[in-house]
Amino acid sequence: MIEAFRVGAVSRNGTLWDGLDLAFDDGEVCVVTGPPASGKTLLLRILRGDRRPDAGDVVVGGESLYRGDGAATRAFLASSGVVPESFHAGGGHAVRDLFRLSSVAGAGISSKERREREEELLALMGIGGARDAALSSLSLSERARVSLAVELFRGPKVLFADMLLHNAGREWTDMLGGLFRALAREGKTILLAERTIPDRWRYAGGGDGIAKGPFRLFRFGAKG
Amino acid sequence: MTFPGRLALIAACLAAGLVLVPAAQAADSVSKLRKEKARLTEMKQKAEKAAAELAETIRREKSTRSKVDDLQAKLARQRRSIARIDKRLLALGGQVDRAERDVRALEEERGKSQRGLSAATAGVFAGERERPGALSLTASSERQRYFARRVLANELARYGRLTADKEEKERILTGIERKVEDSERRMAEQKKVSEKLASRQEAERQRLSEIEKKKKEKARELRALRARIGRMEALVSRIERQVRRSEPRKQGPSRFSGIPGGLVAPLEGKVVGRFGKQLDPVFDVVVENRGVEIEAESGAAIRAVGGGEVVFAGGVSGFGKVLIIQHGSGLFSVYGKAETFSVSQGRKVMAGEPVGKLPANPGGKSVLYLELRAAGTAIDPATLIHFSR
Amino acid sequence: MTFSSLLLIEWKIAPRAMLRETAGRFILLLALGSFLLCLLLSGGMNRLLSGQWTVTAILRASVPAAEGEGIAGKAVGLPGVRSAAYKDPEAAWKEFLAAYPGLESLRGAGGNPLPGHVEIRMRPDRFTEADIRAVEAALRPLPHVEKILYGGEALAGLLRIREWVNAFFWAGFALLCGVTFLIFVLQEKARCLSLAADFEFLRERGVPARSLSISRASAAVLTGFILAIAATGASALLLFLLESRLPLLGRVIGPATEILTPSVLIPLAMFLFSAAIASGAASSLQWSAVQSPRK
Repeated sequence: MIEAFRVGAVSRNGTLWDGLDLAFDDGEVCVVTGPPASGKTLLLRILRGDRRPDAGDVVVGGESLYRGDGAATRAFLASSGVVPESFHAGGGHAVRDLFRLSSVAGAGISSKERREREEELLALMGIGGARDAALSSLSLSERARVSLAVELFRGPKVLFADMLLHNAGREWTDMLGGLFRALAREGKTILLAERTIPDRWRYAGGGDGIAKGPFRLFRFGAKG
Repeated sequence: MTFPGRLALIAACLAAGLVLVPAAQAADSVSKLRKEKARLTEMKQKAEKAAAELAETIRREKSTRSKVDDLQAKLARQRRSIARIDKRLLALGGQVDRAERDVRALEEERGKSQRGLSAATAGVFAGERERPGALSLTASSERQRYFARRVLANELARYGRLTADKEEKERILTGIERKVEDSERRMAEQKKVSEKLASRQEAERQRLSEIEKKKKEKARELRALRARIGRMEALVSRIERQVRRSEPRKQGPSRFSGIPGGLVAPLEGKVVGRFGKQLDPVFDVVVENRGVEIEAESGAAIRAVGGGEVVFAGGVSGFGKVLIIQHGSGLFSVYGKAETFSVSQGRKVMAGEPVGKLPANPGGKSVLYLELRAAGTAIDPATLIHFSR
Repeated sequence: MTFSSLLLIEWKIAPRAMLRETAGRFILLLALGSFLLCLLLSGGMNRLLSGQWTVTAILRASVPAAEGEGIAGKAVGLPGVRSAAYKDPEAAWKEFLAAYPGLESLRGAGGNPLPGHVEIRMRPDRFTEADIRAVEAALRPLPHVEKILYGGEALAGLLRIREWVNAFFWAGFALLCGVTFLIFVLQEKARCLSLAADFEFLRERGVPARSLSISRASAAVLTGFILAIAATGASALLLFLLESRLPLLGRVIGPATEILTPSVLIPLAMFLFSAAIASGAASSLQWSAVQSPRK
């Protein structure tokens, strides 16, 4: 369970938000929406333990991410996955390189197992056979899929995704919905930051969401 | 006593014998005898003169001969000296040649050494200048420079030795040349002396030949005189015999051994002229001495050798004072070269009685001539009287 | 993430780039190693000078050859002497003529004026003024020795030059080491920059920066050490091969067999460790410099 207690963030332009209390259960898919520059990406980073909040704290599994010795943070970071909004494709990396990186961050994944899982995940993402493709040759959507596949490669307990659904088509959105539901049923927590929630998901039980500061939270359970 | 003196004395004796013989019985013979005696005396004087001249010539001949001999010896010595100097000059000439050869050889070698040394020094210096500098200096180049210095020093020392040797040789050469000059000078002097000696010798030889010529002449004269005196003596002897035949025989011994008491020495002295044939060193002839010469102290008293009568006391030319004593029949003792006689003719004397004295001589010694005659024959007094020899 | 997964992380992330860099480092270390080997064997100018420079004991003129040989034998036993050889007067004369040709006439009627001598060569590591003077002091009192030549003032100057040249060589080596280290650092910087996103990726996924730094530095140390060993080994082998074809090289630098002596092995070992440490230090420095602070 991820809990944020009265977290606040300050940007160059001033306080973005403050006093947010949030909680996310295991096996829950939550979409945080907000206008541009509202700090959605910042919130995800704070929740993930990647950026210290200007106020408040985040506790995961009863351990503070920001008031401890950092071990809990590192552990949480290691056990979570993040799909950023934009993926830098420089360095001449290929898709397999990302998987290799991911395997480094992961634990005890053999190269054979990695290769099998790479193919499987890429196929799942609809970009099977792109293992040896250069990232720079992929479209933004394909890069996003690769990024998701690379995170799923490690089997994270919590998955943070930033603007993953932003330019996704219907099919991709449906696929992701199904994927996230499956992950939620496994007890994994999915946190998405989007500008708006896809209509199909709203109608699927998201409702109008809960306002939290400048954000609106849409929660989906395992069955939702 | 000289030969002419003896002849004169013999003649005097004979003359004295003739005078002693009483001439009453043979007036003709006496006058003849006197005549002959005068002739004899004259001849005797001539002979004496000739003898004196001959003696003088002989003396001069001896002197000149001795001078010639002396000069000959000196000349021989000079020639030997000149030969020695010549030999020395030859040897010195050889030394000079050798020394000059040595000097030339040394000079040549010294020149060669000097040229070699100059070239070597220039070569070493040039080699050092061509070396790039201290950066390329190595220990081997230091060793090579040390070798070069050592070789050059060795050559320089050799050059110095050659120079010293050359100077030494030149000094020796100069010394030899000086010796050669000295020797040549001495040789010239010796030659001059030799020439002088030779000329003197030649002059003396000429004198000698003249003297010999004169001597021969005088000897010829003397021989002629001797011959005449011999003839005269024979004549006088004949006359003496005639006188003896004509006068009564004297009483008395006819031999000296018959004289009672024997004969005594006329003085204390040494016999310096013996009786008989003797080589006369002055005339270089063999003469027959009829008596002896006795050397004694100057001014010594002369004693009669036996008793008798003084039959003659007078001077004889060349013989000084002469005393004749008759001891018996035909026995006479003749004393010559006395200073004075203290007895006169006709005086009777005893044996050993002083009858005169010898003359004073600066040398402290004087000579007495003693003759003993028996029947006209001279007898060696040493056989009858004991003398010191 | 486990530490083993971080081992040789860059080789896992960018193997080709690492291969290129490693080849470049190998060449650098080969050059450094060769330079170091040459310096250690030759001692800079020591071997060259000790081979060229001789101490000469000039013997007296009357010393027979047997005595000369005896003095050479005595000299060899002195500390710091590498070799000593007796040369007879004829050899001296030939040397003199070779240096000053055309002076044969100086031999003269007196014969060869030059005496025999003993040529003494010092060991490269004992070619110092004090050692040479010690040899001179040991030989000078001998009755058969007339003079000792060792260069005198020129030697002092030469030794000063040698010190400067050696210092220059070692300074050059140090400079090369500095340049190599700089190259390592630049390589690390470039790699860090090129892999910054990847490291950020890993950091975002819970891989501690410290672990990354340690892993990278360890890998750098390990590869640096292995590279240094390989480069030094290759230098030694190269030296062996070259000396077998060019004996002059052996005389100038020194025999490659002396590599196996402690005086060479110990500095080489220090070089290996230094290369490894330099690699690790370059890696750590650039990681610290390039690493962006956590927001």
